[in-house]
Amino acid sequence: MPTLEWDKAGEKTYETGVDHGVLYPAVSGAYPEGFAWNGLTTVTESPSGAEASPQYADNIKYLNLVSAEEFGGTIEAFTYPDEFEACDGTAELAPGITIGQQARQLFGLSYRTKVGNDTEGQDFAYKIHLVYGALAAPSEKAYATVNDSPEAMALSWEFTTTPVDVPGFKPTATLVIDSRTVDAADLAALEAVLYGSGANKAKLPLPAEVVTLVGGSQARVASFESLSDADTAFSDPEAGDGTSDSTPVQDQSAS
Amino acid sequence: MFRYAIGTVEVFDSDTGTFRKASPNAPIEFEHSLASLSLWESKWEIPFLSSPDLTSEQTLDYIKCMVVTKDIAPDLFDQVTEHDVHAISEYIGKKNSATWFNDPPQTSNNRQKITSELVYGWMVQLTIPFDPCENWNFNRLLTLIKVTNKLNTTDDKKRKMSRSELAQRNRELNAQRRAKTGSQG
Repeated sequence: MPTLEWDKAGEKTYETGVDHGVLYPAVSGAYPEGFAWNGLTTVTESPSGAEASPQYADNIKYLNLVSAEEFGGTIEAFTYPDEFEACDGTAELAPGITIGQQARQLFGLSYRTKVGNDTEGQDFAYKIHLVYGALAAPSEKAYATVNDSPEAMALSWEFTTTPVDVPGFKPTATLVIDSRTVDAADLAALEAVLYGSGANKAKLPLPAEVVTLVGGSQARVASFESLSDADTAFSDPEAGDGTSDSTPVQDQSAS
Repeated sequence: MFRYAIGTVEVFDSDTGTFRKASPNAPIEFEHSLASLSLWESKWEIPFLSSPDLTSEQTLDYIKCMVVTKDIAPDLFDQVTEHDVHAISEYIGKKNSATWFNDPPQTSNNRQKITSELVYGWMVQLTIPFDPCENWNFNRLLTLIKVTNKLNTTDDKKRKMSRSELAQRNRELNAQRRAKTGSQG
């Protein structure tokens, strides 16, 4: 049996930086068109649920009932595309006239996070994050009254999600595609769908289609439960003790 | 502190062909302060800040209360011109501070009249020392009082933006930033 080794060169990885943000407004359960979100700066993933309820009988714990897991988080941006306004409950009555309190449109989101390591630096690899069935609401904010500079103020929304079907697995609201493990040609095919190519518009494929696109390789298409993998050194340090599940990923280039 | 020569008038300078300000008197120092306000209110027994229509006599007397320079000629204020009143009023209206506030729109109809004693009361409450603050520019002192009051307000008592206010703010910031950067979003 091989001996275990720790801290080998090239194996210490970290995850940082958000780029290539794309917004996909939902239309009848599909995400047929994507819009570049240049101003996306931070996506903080906050899975919730999965809380154990221990059951006791005869003074002995005999069962842990685990609640359903939900995926949500916070989106922060410097700017947003016009198409996000419908997702934020705003509609345009006529050019220049907007009205609020409209139904909030569901949307999908894709963004990349950079994976760096100790030998290659920040551009070692990347992960593409796909989010389905997201519903946004503006984050609560108090009036910060003294010398509050609007120039630095981040636009922020909380989002919750509704999971979509995944063949052979429980429904999920997020997929993560890791460039280190997906075949380069398959990844290029997936990116051509996500970001558009030639005459084909950018669109967000549903999980079944993602599996078809990258399924020929050793794809690592993970539902959000695997986001806390040990190799994701960017995981929230508090997640281990159960106090928080947040995984903030910030675009350093935009800050 | 406002340094100004009473009796200033505009005279035509034939050498340069332009108007310039001139006064036969040396400049003296003025300050619009809580001390000057208090002095004036103790004499006239009306709130200075809530009395928009002051008589000429009351206005002139407040200018006298503002004087900081000692030992000035008693007849100096006989020479006060309209230009002087305008220049001093302009100084009284100045913010005199680099601090700004992002307050929510006022919804309550506050009918409280602000008098010098009320301001002294705020200073006691917020432990702001009378000396030297009562001799500061009054608008600057009010800013200090407001800042101290805000800093003493706990987060849970701060007013939250409503959804419509948030949406409005987001729309405005987004439009400004996109126009500035030329980005589509």
